[in-house]
Amino acid sequence: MRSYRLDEVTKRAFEGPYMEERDFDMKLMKRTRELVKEHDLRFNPEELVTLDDSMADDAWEAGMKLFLELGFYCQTTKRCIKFEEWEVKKVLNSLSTSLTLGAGKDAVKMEMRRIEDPTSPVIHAGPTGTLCTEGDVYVKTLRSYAQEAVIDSVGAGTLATIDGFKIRKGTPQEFRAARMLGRWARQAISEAGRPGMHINDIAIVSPEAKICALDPVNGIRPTDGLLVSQMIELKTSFAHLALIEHMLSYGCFVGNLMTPILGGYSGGPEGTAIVNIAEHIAGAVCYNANYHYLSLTNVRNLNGTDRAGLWTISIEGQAFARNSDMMSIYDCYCAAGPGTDVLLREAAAGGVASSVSGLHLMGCGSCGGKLLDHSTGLEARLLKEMALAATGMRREDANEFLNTWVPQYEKWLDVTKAPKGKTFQELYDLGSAKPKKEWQKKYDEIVGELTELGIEIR
Amino acid sequence: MSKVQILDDLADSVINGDAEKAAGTSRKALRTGVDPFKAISEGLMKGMAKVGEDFSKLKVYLPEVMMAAEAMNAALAILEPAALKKGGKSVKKGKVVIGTIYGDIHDIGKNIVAMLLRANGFEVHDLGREVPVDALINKAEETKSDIIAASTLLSTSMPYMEDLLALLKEKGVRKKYIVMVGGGPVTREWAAQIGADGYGDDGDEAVKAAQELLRKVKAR
Repeated sequence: MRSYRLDEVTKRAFEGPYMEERDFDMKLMKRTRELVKEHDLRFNPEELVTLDDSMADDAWEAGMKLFLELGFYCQTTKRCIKFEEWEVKKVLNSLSTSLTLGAGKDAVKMEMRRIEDPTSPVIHAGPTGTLCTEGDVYVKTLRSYAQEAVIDSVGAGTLATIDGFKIRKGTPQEFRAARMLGRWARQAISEAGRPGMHINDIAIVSPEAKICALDPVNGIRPTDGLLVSQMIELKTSFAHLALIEHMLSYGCFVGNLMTPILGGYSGGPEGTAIVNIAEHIAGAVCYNANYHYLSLTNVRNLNGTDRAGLWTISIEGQAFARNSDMMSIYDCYCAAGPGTDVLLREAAAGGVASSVSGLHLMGCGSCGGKLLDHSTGLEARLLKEMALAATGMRREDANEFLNTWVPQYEKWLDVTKAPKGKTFQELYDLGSAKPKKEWQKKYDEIVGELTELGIEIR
Repeated sequence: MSKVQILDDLADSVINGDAEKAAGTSRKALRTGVDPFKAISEGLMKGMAKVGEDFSKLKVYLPEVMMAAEAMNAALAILEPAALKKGGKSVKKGKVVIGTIYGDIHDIGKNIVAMLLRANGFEVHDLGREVPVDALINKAEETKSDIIAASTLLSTSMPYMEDLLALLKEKGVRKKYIVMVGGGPVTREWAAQIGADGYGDDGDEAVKAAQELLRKVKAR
């Protein structure tokens, strides 16, 4: 479907207020600090899932103000794309609350969730930006996710090389890698016996290269999706808007990918929540996004599973659930790597905090995405299982669990201390793409601990 | 007010990001005969070191660091000319050419490192983002810099860091420069593997590495 709104976005990217990017960053930083004070937002490390509905509403209101006042910065024209409040509300009131992802027997419904929602969240799983070895290892890695019955969607790995070439942005090899990522994802889901499963992304940097993956036979189909990035913070470019133009014509799902930096220009958890709410609104209005990837990134440790991170994603989820129909997905980025109990503990906490707050899930990222082949399906399985266990859970009970659980891993989250674990090849049987005993045993032990705490893994 | 108190006040003004107080205390320091070198090194730098450490431990966040840097700059504008007049040489610790390497438009990490380097007394030439490898080298040659620092958030831009080291060798100027690399996907092991001289897990560590590497070079 052609989007006339995208024409309006482009027009405003040429006509909006001109500003140097550094000035936009400073304005965002200063205004966010003011909004945190004006709305009296306060991070509470003992109450990671806020029980204060009015604070979630305040965060929403502050995010809306920030978007309306600053707009969405276009790096191409150095102008701010601005919309009036009535225009934003018109878009927000028109959002779909139910999507069918994938096709045939493998299709899943992704529905707008609310706080303490009893309905199941959807998990978009995959290596989420982590570097992977090309070819069969990549296929097997994705298959390890697709084989897990609880997982609903796969994709999003990054290749280190293609045909032995190091992949550089804008080169022919990047375009080839985009095409092959789509093909290999389709091969993985077919091998897992789920050929209609939704593919959520191919992690390629250049928006123009991503288009190569759109292929109704061997690649990304209209029942799949791609992520379109925002630049940090609250910024876009014509390359990204042009990708959306093509995706809308093609008919696949548009995912609004945001990587808000906790500790960056937005400041602490309170400011990060405000800025990222504004980024969600920008995604709905300017990207025509069907869903939103909340890929919170700690400025030092590159994860989103510490107390500050969990509080931030929870208040955002609650803000969306109470004030909008925007479907947001918590991209669970962990500090530790596969094969370690720390990664499983991080995933378990992320699953509970996000699910009870009305979010869907993505995961798991590990080791800040720095280490090759450090992604497996097993941690994503636990992430989803914990999210399912938390469906219908009261926020008070979620906090009780988190206050018991988070102290067990938080001392390991520093980038210099987080255990790196092992590679997919070391932890999985490469023939069957199933976990080896060592990794399976670690998972069983953690599930045992969770069961003792009264968590019912379904 | 004692000279020790003035030094403490300078440090506090930086820690609290109070540019007005930093400037006022700097003027007071000169009026009361505090050595401007000492005011910078034992007042301002001490405060900035504390802010850098706190940022590294996430006790404070980037906005607080930026405000501290603003306070630092307000004070340096007063103290540095006096120090130059007195000592006759620049108080700058060294010169750095920095940029987000080619293919990457993410610059928050590079901006943090550039700001912390400036605040710690380095002369910084920031070339922005998507900087071609030869542009970094040309600028380093033009400014007679000590350090070339490259950052990226993207694995697809990491090969350009290898190209940087290769081109420095090809031009026969590798030994003239300390090369530092960093950013999201870059690890300490990879930095060592490609032959870079320095790396930092965060901005504070990058500054400490730059100081240490420069000290070693100057001691040769």
